[in-house]
Parts: sequence; C-alpha cells; structure tokens
Amino acid sequence: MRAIIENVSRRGFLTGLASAGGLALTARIVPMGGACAQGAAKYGAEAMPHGTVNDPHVFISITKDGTVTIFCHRSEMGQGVRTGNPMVVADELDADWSRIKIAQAPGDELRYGNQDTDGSRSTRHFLRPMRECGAAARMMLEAAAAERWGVEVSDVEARNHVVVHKPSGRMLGYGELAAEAGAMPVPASSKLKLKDPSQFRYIGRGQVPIVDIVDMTTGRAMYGIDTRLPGMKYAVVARPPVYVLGSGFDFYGPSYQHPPAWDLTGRSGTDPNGVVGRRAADLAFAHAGVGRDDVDVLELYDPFSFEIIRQLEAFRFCQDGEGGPFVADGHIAIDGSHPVTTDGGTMSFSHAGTNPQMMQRAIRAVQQIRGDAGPLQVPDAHIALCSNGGAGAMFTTVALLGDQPR
Amino acid sequence: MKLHVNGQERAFDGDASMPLLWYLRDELGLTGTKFGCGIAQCGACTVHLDGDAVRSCQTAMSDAEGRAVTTIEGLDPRGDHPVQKAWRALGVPQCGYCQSGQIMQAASLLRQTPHPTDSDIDSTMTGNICRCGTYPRIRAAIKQAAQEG
Repeated sequence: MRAIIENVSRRGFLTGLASAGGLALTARIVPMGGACAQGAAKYGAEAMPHGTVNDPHVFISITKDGTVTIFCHRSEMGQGVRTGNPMVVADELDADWSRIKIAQAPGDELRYGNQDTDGSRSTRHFLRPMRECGAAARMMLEAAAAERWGVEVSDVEARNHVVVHKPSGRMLGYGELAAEAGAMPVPASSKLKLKDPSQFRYIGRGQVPIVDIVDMTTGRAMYGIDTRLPGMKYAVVARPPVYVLGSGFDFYGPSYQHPPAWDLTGRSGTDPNGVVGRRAADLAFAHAGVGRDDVDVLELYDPFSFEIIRQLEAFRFCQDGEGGPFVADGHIAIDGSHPVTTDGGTMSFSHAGTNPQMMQRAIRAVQQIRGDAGPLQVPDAHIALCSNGGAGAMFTTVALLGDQPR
Repeated sequence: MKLHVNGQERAFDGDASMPLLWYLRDELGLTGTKFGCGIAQCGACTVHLDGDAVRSCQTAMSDAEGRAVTTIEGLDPRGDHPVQKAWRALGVPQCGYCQSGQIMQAASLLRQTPHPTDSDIDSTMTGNICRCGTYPRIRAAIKQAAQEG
C-alpha cells in the first residue's frame, strides 16, 4: 500500500475553495498494484470495503485570511471524530487550532474512501493518512515560502500557522502562502517528514475541547433530524385506536412452597384452592361486558407448554380437564376456533422476563386488532385476550382489547 | 391562542392538542429542542414552561396557552447561563443529542434548589437519559454551576 497525495485544487476539486486562492489537498491510500500478489489477504484498514482498503480523501483548504478548513469524512456519534481526525491533520500541519474550521464531508466513498463510522476504526485507520496529509501541506507551505524568499527550503520552518526563515526571522502566514503552496508539487510519500511524537501539540495532549461544544450547549448543533428542506412536509402515521375493554388481576402465593400458599389474601369461594387466573379472567370479562365466544385471538403468556392448556381451562375457554384434547384437536392453530399466540410465544419468539413478556402479548394483541400482524394475522380479529399467567402461581393478569370502545 | 416563546409573543391557531415540541421544531424552527422518544420517557425535549421543566413532546399547545416557553435557544441571550458555562468548562457533551434537555432540566433544578445535593441531582435528572453516559460529568457540572451561579 502506498499513499498518494494529490493536489486536487489543480484538478478542479473543491472549486469554490480553490478559486478563492486556496490550497486543497487530498490523501488517497490505494493498494499497491504489482507489488502485491493478486488475491492476497488484506487486513485492518486494507480490508475495509470499497475496493480499496483505506481510501480516504482528507481535504485541507487554506484561504487568504489564513482560515484552514479540514474535512471530516466520518460521522460524529459522540466519539469525538469531528475533533479527533481534523486535530491530527492540524498537528502535522502545525496549524493554530483556533483558526481551524471543520467541514463535514458528504457521503462519497469514491472521493473520501471508506466512510463506515464503526468498529472504533476512524482514528485507528486514519491516523497515518491524516498525518501524511497534514505533513504534505506543511511542506508545501514551506516550499512556497522558500521560493518567495529565494532561500533554501532547509532554512525555513512552519511554526504554528506561520512559516519562518530561520536565519533572518522573516515570517509569512499560512494564508499569505496558500495560493502558491497550492501550486507546489505534492511531496512523494517517501519524502514526507512526519513529526516526532514529542513534537505533537494536539495529539494525545488532552487539551482540545470538542469542536461542537458551544453549539451543543446552545441548541445550534445540527443533527440529521434537524435537516430542513424547501417545501418539506411533516407527517405522522395515524393508527387506529385499540381500546382496553377490561382487565383483571389475581394474586396468589407461591405454589412451589410446602404446603402451597395458594391464596395469601385469605379469600375463599368457588376455587378456594386456587385455579390461578380464573378470578382474573372472570373480572376482565365482567369488566369488558363481553363473553368468551367474543374473543377472536388469545395472546397467552406461555412460560411452560402446559400453561396454554392450564390457562384455557382457568379462563373458562374449556372445562377443567378438557384442555389437552382441546389443544390437540387444533383449536389453537392460527385458523382454529381459538388462535393462541401466533408468534410462537416463548418457544419461538422470546422470553424476555415476565413484564416484558406481557408487553409483548399486548403488542401482539394490538397488532392483531389493527390487522398489522402480517403473516401472524388472525383474520377478522376484533377482540383479543392477553395474559400473564405465571406458572409459579404468583399472580395472573388478563386484559381484553378491542377495536370498539366498550 | 397566544403564548410567549423565548420572550417573544406568538400566536397559534392550529390544533390545540398538538405537542408543543412539534410547534417549536417544525413551525418556529427551534431545532435545539430534540425529539427523543415522543412519550416523555427520555427528557431530550425538555423545555421550560413558566420556568419549570416540562417534556414538550407530552405538553399540548393548549397547556402552553398564555404561558412563557423557554427553549435552549432562549435560556440565555449569549448562551452563557451558568449551566451552559459549566457544561463547556467540564466538557459534558459527547454526541450532544440529549444535552439541550439535560441543560434545561438542570437549569430548572438550580432555580428551585440553588444548592442541590447528590440525591437532589439524581432524583431530578433521572428522567433525562444520555446514551453516551455523561452522567458523572452532568452531576459535576451542576455542582459547578451551583457554585458559580
């Protein structure tokens, strides 16, 4: 792999900036053609998508007033890349950070190289090309100053936004040199003089605040959602309402202690030993004013396979003891008389904890009633029952949802 | 209806049930207030209504009638509210998306409780979620703002 640094201002890139009398550079890393065996394995930056490994174009533009604009071709996501990568360029360029502007590059991988902002790769993969880009620009500024003064380039040095003629102390600002520097040949990558890390002023010093911090604290920072286009319309998807027709709750003690604490509330009645969930269902149906036959789809919490059978009995969809044959006869299939949990429930979909599970059942019930359930849809679903019937017998909740208010 | 937004009187004759957030962002172009969840669970849309923090996604226009709405853009004319200054001094934001809401919530806290304890801060800021996890700096910046405010 080799780095090619092109002086794009002469090729018409960035014409707006270039025509203002500036210098525009781009670093482009391309795989070595003949030197690498075809099909050889690629690693790291070289293995990134888009034909070439690490194919960034990092632009530097210097205008006559000395403003240095550095393009950031990666996306800011809170990791600080809009500060970090340009800072690397600025350090090698020996630029004054207060005179740097950051420009966000558009998505254009042919021009900027790989733009996946992921995998903690933006700095890891671009540290070197960005350093090379900054160093090349610095050397072109030095060459332009040497030519202007008619002195040896070895006698001049870029120092914090000015180029100094060391023997005489004469100085020229980067802005004053920008146009001539832009016309200078780009140094070959083998001739680039990178800084020794001890000379870094920004990289690794921890002194540069993120470039957007003022905008972020005053509401001016622009995010994707803030984009405004001419004639833009705003819309929200209107969805049909789904009504809670009724609900019931049933609390028992744990069944897995000995003796089972079936009913901690001490209530008695028809089911003194607790058919867990029966009271919840009775309450919900009474509350809703609908009958068992009105239910089109059941979304039952099914932590264990017997729970479906047990709940069908407890909720009085069939007689006690008849749940097994009822299920075996196909009543609970998607086209059966009592379709149950058509997403497959905990066996096929998820078991993300008890309360989320009830949420999932409620979400499915809403989708069924709206006709939004796709391949899981039960035709003509108007009323759905959803449950959270814990086999540990701690509690049961039952809710009835419908497309018409009670 | 009439309302004040960042000190300016505004007239509104649209749907009174529309969320204040939509009015601020889409009609007035005050995009500093962010849409996060739309159901008052994240705090990104926090603004002040007569000085108190509210979630503008769940505040209807009718709730704002005749009242003073302050957004991040209007918190301080120069962006130099003590909370904003502390936020910059301690480099609180990372991606920044939630920070308008964080700052508005913190400013409201300090108005009501000028010298909050850690537990005051935690209980008040708990509804403002930060995906970058800037919470320790948020707490430190609120304390700094309390000292300097």
